[in-house]
Amino acid sequence: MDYKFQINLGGIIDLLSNHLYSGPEVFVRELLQNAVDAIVARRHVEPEHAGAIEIEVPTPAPGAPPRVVFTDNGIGLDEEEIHRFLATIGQTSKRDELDERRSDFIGQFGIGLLSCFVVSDEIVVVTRSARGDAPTMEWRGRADGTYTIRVLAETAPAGTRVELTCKPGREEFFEPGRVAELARHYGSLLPFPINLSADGRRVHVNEDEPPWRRAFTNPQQERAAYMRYGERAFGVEFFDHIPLRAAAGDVQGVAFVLPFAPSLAARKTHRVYLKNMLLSEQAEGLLPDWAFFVKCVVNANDLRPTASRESFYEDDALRATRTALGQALRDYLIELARHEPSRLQRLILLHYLSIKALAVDDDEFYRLFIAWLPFETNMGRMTLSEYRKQHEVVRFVPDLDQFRQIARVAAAQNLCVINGAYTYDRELLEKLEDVFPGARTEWVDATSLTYSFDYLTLDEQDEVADFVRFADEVLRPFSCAAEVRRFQPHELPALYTASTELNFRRSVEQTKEIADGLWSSVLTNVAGELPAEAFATLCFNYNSPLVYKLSRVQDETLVRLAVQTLYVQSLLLSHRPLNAAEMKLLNEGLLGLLEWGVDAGGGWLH
Amino acid sequence: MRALLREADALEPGETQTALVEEAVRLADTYGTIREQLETREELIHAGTFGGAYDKALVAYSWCLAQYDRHPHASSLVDTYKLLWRYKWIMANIAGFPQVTRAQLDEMLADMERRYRAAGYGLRPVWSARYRVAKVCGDRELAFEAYNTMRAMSRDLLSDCAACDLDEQVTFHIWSGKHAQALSLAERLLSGGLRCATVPQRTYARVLWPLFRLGRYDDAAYYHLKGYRLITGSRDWVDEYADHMLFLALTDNLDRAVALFARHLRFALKAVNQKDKFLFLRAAWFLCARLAAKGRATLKLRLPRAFPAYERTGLYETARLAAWLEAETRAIAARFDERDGNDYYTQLVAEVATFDALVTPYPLDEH
Repeated sequence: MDYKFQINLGGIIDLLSNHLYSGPEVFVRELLQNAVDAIVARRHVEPEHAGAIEIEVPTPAPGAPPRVVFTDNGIGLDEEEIHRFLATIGQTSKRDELDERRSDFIGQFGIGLLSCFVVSDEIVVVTRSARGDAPTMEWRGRADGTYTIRVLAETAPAGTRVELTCKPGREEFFEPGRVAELARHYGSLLPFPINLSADGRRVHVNEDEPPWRRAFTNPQQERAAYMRYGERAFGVEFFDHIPLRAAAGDVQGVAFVLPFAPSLAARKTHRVYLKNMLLSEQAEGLLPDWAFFVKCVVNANDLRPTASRESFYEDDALRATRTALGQALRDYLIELARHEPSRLQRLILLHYLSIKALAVDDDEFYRLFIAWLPFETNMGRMTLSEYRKQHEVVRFVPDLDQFRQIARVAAAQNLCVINGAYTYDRELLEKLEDVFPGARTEWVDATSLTYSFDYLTLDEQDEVADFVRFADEVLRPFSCAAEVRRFQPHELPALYTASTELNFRRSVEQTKEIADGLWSSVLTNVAGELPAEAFATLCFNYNSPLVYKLSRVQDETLVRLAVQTLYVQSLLLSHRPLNAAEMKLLNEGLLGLLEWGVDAGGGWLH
Repeated sequence: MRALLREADALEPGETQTALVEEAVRLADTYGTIREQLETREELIHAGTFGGAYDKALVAYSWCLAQYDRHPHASSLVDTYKLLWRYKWIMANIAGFPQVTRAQLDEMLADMERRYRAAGYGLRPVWSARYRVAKVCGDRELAFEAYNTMRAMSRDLLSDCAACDLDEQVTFHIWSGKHAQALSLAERLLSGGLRCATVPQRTYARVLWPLFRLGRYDDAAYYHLKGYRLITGSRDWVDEYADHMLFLALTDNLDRAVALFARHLRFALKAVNQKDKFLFLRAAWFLCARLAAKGRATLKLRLPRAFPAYERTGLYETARLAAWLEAETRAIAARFDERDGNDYYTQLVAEVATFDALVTPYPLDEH
């Protein structure tokens, strides 16, 4: 014997309201969608028919729950259709069929009505089919899954009227202000007038046509209309607007250029309409990844929504749309570069990251824009063209830590170096020679910087030979070698430089000092053996009077103390935390120097 | 320090973010309080784990763990829950360092178990870690046992999110060769019904192989196009790139595969997780060998300067590239097999020879 499942409609409604729909308010969208579908269906039969949607929030009688009534003058339903559409739930779960039935105009009626049960325990539908002379029917559906159907004596106008009665706890969705706001939210682009009557007033909810559907007499007027539209839609005064249109997906709308630099980590979402009904305020994937400098409002007539109705289904149409919209934004930027360079410069100040992201992958675009793009250097931020005007070779440091190590010293040598550690910068600079064969670029790091320091003369090398040998010995336990050169600024007695690898190793050593046996052994293995060339260098500056004098001191104790102290000081200068041994060095060095000083000055004290 | 953290916070995970946070750690170490030292390191653990700098995450984590052990009563200083949660991150990648021995891995798992027990949490995440470690080590028996033990345990507050959990099931079934089952499990992830920060991006890459093997080229192409877009940012997804590249090479979309190779080689070269690097180089090796075999002798490519065989002219011989990639792939395989005491990676290397026979042209540009 076969049995049938008993479906608990209440449970299903609960599930739907919590999962399928984003919130209880979607009943407004579903009712508007049903109304639009019904009107479109009627216009297939009567092309001249002027559709209209009326929403009424009657003032409730004292003690009675509030109600809301949606009326359309669409195609209406006859008795057979009522059974088929209003009383069958989830006829199919297959996405494709569902979509097809949706384009069948009234296919999703039943599912739409379900969302009404989230705010109302009873739904009353009064409808009369516009085809033939069908009687006026009344359908009453209840959240417990039962419904009644009867023929009404009086004849209603052709169309459908849906009446909801507020469920306890859902009062906010029956406030006239809230209903109007929701109707405007979902339906502002709908091509049929929506009027809302409440408290004796009747308001045209979707009066304003979106700017892309309007004709303008001049560009100023057009711009003003778009900017006003953007401000009303998002409460933001945008930098600019870019009209969008793509044959793929039958898409039309506008991209607004954000007046601030967006965070890279933030989700890039847009307001999208599907066949003029709001689909989502948080749609993703509509634009190429690099285009995070705009916020869009678009309507698509020919893209498929996902089941959750939050965005579009990733298919060829969406890909083609994305390409076309990306092209429109790219064209806009190129147009600005050609005709409004000062405006472009202001845009770049805010959105250079977006432009860099595109330039990384698009050589032609790169060629046009790279000169305008700002880079961080040790002499402040400048555009690449400003940089290249002053410096023939584009020098960049691919790593933040290395950059910080050398920024100040490089500046003193009159070397301008770009910090290439920021997102996209290294890739952009690495491309420079390929795209512009005449350009020259050079990687710089802390080690290569010291190559540019002046060598001592042979005589001077003799003078400092003993000092270097001795300092080398003092520093060996710290995996550091000593060297003496001449460099600027002369106030800087010594410069500590280390490769990125060595810096990582310092952090490993520092951690091993406190980690237990297991973790310490794991860290040792992960870090591996230290190759000899990974030694750091402490480069003493022969231009510094202190170093000059120091190299001539005979007292070994004093030289040792001084070398140790200079080592620790230069570590601290480059923001390098000290390990235990270095901390000890610092203490010993300072105290030792004090003691030495006191001893030396002893005669004077007495 | 605050400014650096704020700046980092606005970025996607990746090199730049990690570098900024590292600088913040150095500042905190030099001038800050222990609270700031911990706080910046917690950020570094996060940035490193999601930006591919697993070694840096490991060092920062060891430091935090040691501080936790030194101040067992200062629960306000280190949050036990957070610490245990991050233990999972560390264990998810640790086996990818062949220089970490099996004994050390076992000890770490034991340490993890001890800490979970002491804090009164269930051991499901520990068994999940055990499974992952065994899988990377090519220890099938242990991996199956750990996986089944894990599945029999109930979830609790420290369990992975539902999306990651399901993704793990999918990956396990693919790994066990149960492709059809894996794909039906994956359905909810692929449809976007269940998602998190890394799923379904990861899943899209994983299902390419079973879909390809089952001849479902349409679906594979669909998830390739959809999934690849989502992982092309600055963050590194080295083993996911490997999946996509292999799929492209197997379907004879060589132009696209080469573009992917050139674009992401930089990440692969500096990848510290050697298993990820191995998979990427292996796919690239197959790709270049195939190009060479098809008579494509040279390629004009923009490869990163850090590439050991970098050519200033940008002109590369495919046969030489293939040879370089093969040698690297074999070298990594040898290190793993030596550590693991088996021939799992050697077998993965040998698999490459079978790929040629699998190639089924499915030009993406025409579909």
